[in-house]
Amino acid sequence: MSADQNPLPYKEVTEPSYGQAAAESFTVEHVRKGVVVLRGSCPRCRGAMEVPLVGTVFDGMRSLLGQRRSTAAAPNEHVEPLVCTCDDTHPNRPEGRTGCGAYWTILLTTESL
Amino acid sequence: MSEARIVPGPPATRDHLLAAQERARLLRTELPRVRAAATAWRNALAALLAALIGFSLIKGRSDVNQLATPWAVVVGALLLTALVCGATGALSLVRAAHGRPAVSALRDLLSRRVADHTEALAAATSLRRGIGLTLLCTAFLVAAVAVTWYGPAAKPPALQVTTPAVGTICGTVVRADRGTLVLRTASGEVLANLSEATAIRPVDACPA
Repeated sequence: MSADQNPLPYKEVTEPSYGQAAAESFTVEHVRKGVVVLRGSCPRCRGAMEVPLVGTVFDGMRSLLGQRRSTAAAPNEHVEPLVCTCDDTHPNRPEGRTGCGAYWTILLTTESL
Repeated sequence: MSEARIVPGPPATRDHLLAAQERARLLRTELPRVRAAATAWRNALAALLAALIGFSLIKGRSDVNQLATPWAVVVGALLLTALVCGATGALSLVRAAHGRPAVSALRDLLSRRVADHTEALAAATSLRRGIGLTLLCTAFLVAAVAVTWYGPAAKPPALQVTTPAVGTICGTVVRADRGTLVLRTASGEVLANLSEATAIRPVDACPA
């Protein structure tokens, strides 16, 4: 279903199948140290999405003082919550949000080579 | 280097949604936030330095030659270090606020979100460096002015005058009047008659 032709309304919803579909279709790219990028289609709206999983993020003066917030958990195996971040249009989407509202979790495993 | 793979996770909860939304928001706004912070810091530090220097809030001797030689060199070194720190700090702040003019091979380009995150971290590093160097520049400027305030003054040049009546006297000039010269010597002020002088020689310091 094309989001452009018949866009789904924004709705914050989850289903067990979302995680399963993402695990089967998403690609995982280890871009560089501390940055993993997940790419694939949203299990709900099929919009293309990309989710960088990063170790540190700029968080205002706390970052400048060296207390960076970590958005990724410890290495090896951890649960990552995901939400649709497609750039497609979805009616009723609140200001400041992206995607169609679908969310799910995956279990990300990183192994040192 | 590492390899990553994914499998379905546990049932998602509202907390997972909020965490994912917050992560997306942080990443989406990361670069604009670091740019805004860098611009604010750049303006604030520029105003601080302009106030200190432009409005002469700190001012010492205008000529370091009035200082004793080793202290004049110290002031010069401090000012040079302040200049290097200030220039490097200013460039770092500008780099943090506006990025750097880079040209990259198309095949090396990362996705926009990853590139923005990478640039945000680089900008934050430049911002930290710029703040540190600019404050260091201010500290060196203050130290240079303090040395000009409290450093020992240079001794005025001395004259060595030889006359048949008095012999050779050496001292700093106190005053000259009607063919006479009053020198301040180690033993007090001495009057030398210039019309009788057989030699007048400027010296950096009188012999002990």
